[in-house]
Amino acid sequence: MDTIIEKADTATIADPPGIYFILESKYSNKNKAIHIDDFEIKTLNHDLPMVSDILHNCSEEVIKAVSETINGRGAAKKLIFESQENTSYYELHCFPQDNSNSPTVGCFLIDRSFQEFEKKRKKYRIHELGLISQAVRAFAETRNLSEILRIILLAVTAGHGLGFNRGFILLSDDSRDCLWGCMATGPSSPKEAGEIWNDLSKNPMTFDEVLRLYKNGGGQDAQINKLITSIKIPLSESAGFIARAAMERRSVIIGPESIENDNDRELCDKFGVEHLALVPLISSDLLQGVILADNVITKRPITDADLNILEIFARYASDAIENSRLYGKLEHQVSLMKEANEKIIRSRENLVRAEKLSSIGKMALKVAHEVRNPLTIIGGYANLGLRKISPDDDSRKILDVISKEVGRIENTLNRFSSVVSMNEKNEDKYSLAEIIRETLGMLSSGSNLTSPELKLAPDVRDSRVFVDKGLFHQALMALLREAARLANGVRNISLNVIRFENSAMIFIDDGQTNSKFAENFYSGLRKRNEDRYQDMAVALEILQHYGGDIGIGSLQGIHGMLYVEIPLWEGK
Amino acid sequence: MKNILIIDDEEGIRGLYEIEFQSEGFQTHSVSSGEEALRYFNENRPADLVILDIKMENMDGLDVLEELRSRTIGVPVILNSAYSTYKNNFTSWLADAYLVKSADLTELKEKVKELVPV
Repeated sequence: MDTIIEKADTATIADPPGIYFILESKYSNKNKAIHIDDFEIKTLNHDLPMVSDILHNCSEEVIKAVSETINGRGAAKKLIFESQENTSYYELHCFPQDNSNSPTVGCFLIDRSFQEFEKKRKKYRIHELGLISQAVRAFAETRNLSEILRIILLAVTAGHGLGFNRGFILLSDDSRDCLWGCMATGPSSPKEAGEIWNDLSKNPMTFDEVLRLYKNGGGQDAQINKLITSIKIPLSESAGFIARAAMERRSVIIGPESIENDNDRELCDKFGVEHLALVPLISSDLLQGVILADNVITKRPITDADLNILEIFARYASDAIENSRLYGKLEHQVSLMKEANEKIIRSRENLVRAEKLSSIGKMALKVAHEVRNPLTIIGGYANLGLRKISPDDDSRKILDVISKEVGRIENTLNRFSSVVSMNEKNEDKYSLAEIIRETLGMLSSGSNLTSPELKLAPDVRDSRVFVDKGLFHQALMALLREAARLANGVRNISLNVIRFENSAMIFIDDGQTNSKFAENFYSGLRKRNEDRYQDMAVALEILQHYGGDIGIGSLQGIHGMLYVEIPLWEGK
Repeated sequence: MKNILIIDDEEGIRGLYEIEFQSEGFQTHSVSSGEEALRYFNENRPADLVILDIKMENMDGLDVLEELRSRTIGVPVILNSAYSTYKNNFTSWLADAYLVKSADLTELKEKVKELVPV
């Protein structure tokens, strides 16, 4: 219409843009009715070939409009003008002219092409926004990253979606150092595309139905996923157009003109297309990744409008990805905290049990000393008396009773003084590594949050010991507490567990060269006046009960290393 | 006659052991602490064998043993304790035997005779 208006100097310009002119009719009068046979454009002085073309091309509709106007019925006709380049839509409004000898009709021709296009475009845009809305609803129903990526790709590629043939997602790593190919969807060949589209035309599905199909494990595009997961792009200027666009956070349509270096060429070859739409996924000002989309099968050019709608969709997609990632991190943190909490509870329980056993052990040692000495004296003198007096002395019977009863108490004491035997043992096969870790957990519970370093040789990682777990905890705790005391803190000791023949050797070290750690530890084993040394005495008793020991040996060429030996369970 | 030095803070034990070992043909001396024992050796008094208790006030039996060995006093020593725990203590390895106290002195007597034949 702009073209028409430019040429129609005498024409009236109206809003909406239109052109005014007068048509003079060539008519015949039959049966008291005027019949228009033809018309002639009258009042336009300038040559308006386009208007003329439009009117004559649509002459039937024009004659009809003019006839109806002259016969008293106002009319507006829709004219469709098809040229070689395109199809245009016009509206012809006619109204009678009074002061003429022959029937003339005033006309107003309005170009409706733009409105028609806009109408279609709006309809399509509403459709696209509807789809985005469905996708956003689907995002809200899941926190699973894979599901979110699948929804994004389906929205990008579904026929009633954003309409691309293929979609790819690359996500950035946490440090934003590179992009990793994660997921893709779309046909890998025209044949496959034909089959898919044929199926869809027979069984059309809504976007929700397509989502459900994929959620139930259908429609996985193995080949194209293999392609995308093989791609890793460092986020550096030299890494190619994808990295550049991602770093600059701009949406682009990548074409042959974008190729700057071999990396660009290699990427284009991988995707097998000339044009790709690229939209960065940005949420909370952080690059989450990029969406790539192409029309490899249909070859339909990617327009700015396509890129715009993809960009709008990408904003929602970015938030969904970020939420999922944050949720994943949160879930991981919660799981760690839960695990730590359970560990603390277990450690406390073990600690309480170990402390109880320790108290019992200490009591046993005290009883052993306090009772054994008087018993030795009483029994010893009774035995002495038995040897001194004559066999027929009446006192002999009394001394004999004393001697036997002392022997009985001594036997009981021998059993009682063994810390292990006085407890109701709950012996079973336990993972050595697990018991050591639990003990370290107890050691580092409470105010002390540091745990000693633990190294387990591969051949002891799965080894088991046959012990009472509580007693073994108690023994290790006592030894490690003393080790930590000598090393000025738990964090300074390290445990190195190796296998030697049928035993595990737990080497405990303070990490200092030429220290007297092992020596000092040993000197503690013979001191009994302090509580902690009694703990160590009990610990040694427990270890020995299970065939273990404490010693000083060599590890990896280092001499004078303190070790705790414990036999391993070998199935008997 | 061989001399046995009995070191124990329990008077009853000392008395019992003295009677028993004297009756076995030994000469006995007894002291009630580690310090007294060291003084005994400082005075170069005779001892062919020592029966040594471990748990005593101030200086315990293992300290006495360590001191004796550091002075290269090679007298045979039998550690005689109410505890069995210290059998594997490195210092206790410096002793010639380790016996847990018992009213039945048979094992102790046999060990003494083994180390110091009459």
